[in-house]
Amino acid sequence: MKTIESDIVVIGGGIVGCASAYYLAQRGVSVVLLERSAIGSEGSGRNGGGVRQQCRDLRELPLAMASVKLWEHLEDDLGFDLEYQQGGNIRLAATEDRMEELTTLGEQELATGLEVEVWDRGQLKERAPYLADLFIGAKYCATDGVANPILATKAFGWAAERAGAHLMVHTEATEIRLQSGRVSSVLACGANGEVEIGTSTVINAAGLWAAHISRTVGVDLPLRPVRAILVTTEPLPPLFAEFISSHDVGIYTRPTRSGGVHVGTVGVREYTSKKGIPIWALRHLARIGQMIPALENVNFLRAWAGSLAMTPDGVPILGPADGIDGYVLATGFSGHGFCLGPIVGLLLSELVVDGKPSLSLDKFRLSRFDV
Amino acid sequence: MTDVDLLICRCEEVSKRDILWAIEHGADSVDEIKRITRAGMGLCQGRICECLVSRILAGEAGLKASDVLPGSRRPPVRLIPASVFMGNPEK
Repeated sequence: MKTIESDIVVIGGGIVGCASAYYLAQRGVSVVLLERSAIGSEGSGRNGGGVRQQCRDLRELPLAMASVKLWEHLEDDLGFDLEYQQGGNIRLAATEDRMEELTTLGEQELATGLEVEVWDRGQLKERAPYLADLFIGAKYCATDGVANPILATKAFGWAAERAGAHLMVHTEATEIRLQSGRVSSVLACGANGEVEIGTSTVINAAGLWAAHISRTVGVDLPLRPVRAILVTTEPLPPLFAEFISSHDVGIYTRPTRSGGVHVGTVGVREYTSKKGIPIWALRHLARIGQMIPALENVNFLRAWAGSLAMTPDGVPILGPADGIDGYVLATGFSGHGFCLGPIVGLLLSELVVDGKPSLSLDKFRLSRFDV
Repeated sequence: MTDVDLLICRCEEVSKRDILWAIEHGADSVDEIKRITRAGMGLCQGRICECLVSRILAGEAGLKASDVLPGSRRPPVRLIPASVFMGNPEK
C-alpha cells in the first residue's frame, strides 16, 4: 500500500470540504482532500443555489450573515465567475399563522442585525406583482441571493489546488485510524489502489456519507438522507430577480443566468437515498403556476436531484468530536450547506490552525444530541 | 476562426475551447464537462453535441470514443408544460 503524509485530511469534496481545503492551504498547512466521486457531485452541486440569511435557525443566523460577507468578495478571491447575485429573498405567507410566524422571526432577525422587511398584502402586490393573489404577505431580505452551486464548489476546489492542496477525486475514504485516542491516519481507496495518509487531523465533511466513515472510529452521527429535487425551465423573458419560497405551496423558485428558472421542493421530508426523479416530484414542482400564474404552462426542461444529510434539529454538526483528538466534524447541513460553506471552511481552518475559530461553533457540537 | 472557436453545443453556445478548458480543469466525463461548461444543458439536452463532446474527451484522454460513458438522461427528457403534471398533487 502506498503511504503519504499530510497535516490535514479533508473527507468530502463538497463546498464545505473544498472551502476548508482552500482556507487551510492558504494558511500554509498541507492538505489532502478525498472525494469518492467528482467535486460537487452531490448536495453541493445539486441544490437551488440559494445564498440566504433570513428564516434561519437563530443559532445559524450569525454564520449565514458572516458567510454572505465572504460571498460578497468570493468571486475576486477565487478568481472565478460564480454567477453570484444579491437579488433578494422573498419568503411568502399564504395564511395568517404563517404571517405571524414570519413577523416574529423578522423582529428576532432585526434584533440580530439582519436587515429584513415585512410586507403586507399591498406592499407584496407592489414589490412583486407577478405573484398569485393567494399570498397575504411576505418577509424580504435584500442582501440574500443566489450563486451557481456547481461552479462555486468547483471554483473552491480549483482555488484550493492553486493554493497547494492535493485533491484526490474518485478516491473514497474507507477508514480513520487512531493511535492512543488520537487520529493517526486515513485509509482511502481509488483507481490506483489503496493509500494510507498519515495525519493528525481529519475533517469529516462527507455529507450523508460522513456517518459511514465516522462509524470506523465509533462515533455515530444522527444523519438521515433527503433528496433535494429540482427542475429547470426553458429560457424565459425576465420576470423576477428574487429567490422566492413558500412553505404553504411547498416550492421555491429562482432565476438563473441561462434565462430559465429553477423550481425546487420546500419542506418535503421524504427520507430516501433512492436515485432518480419520482413522478410525484414533477407533479409537486408543477405547483409553480400556483405561485406565479404566468408560469402555469411553462415548459419543464430537465430535473435532477442530490442527497442531503439531515440532522434531528435541522442544524449542522460542526467542530471537534468529543473523545478523539484531531477528529473534526462538518456535516448534517440539512439543506443549508451551500450558503454556509465558505464561512464554515474559514472557521474550520481557524479551529485547526489557531485552535479557536473567530465565531463560536459550540452550539453546533455533536454532543447536543446526547441524552 | 480557428478550430477551438468551433461551437460544439449550439443551444448553450459552448466552444471547443470551453470544452478543452473543462478537461484541463479535471472534467473526466461527459457529465462533468456538462456541469462546468453547460454543453448539453440546452433545449436539445445534448442530442446534437454529446457525440462531439465524447469525441473531444476521448481524444484528450487517449481513449476510444466507445470507452467514454454517455451522459445521464434527465426527465422529462423533452420540454413538457408544467400544467401537464398537475392533477393529483399528492404522491
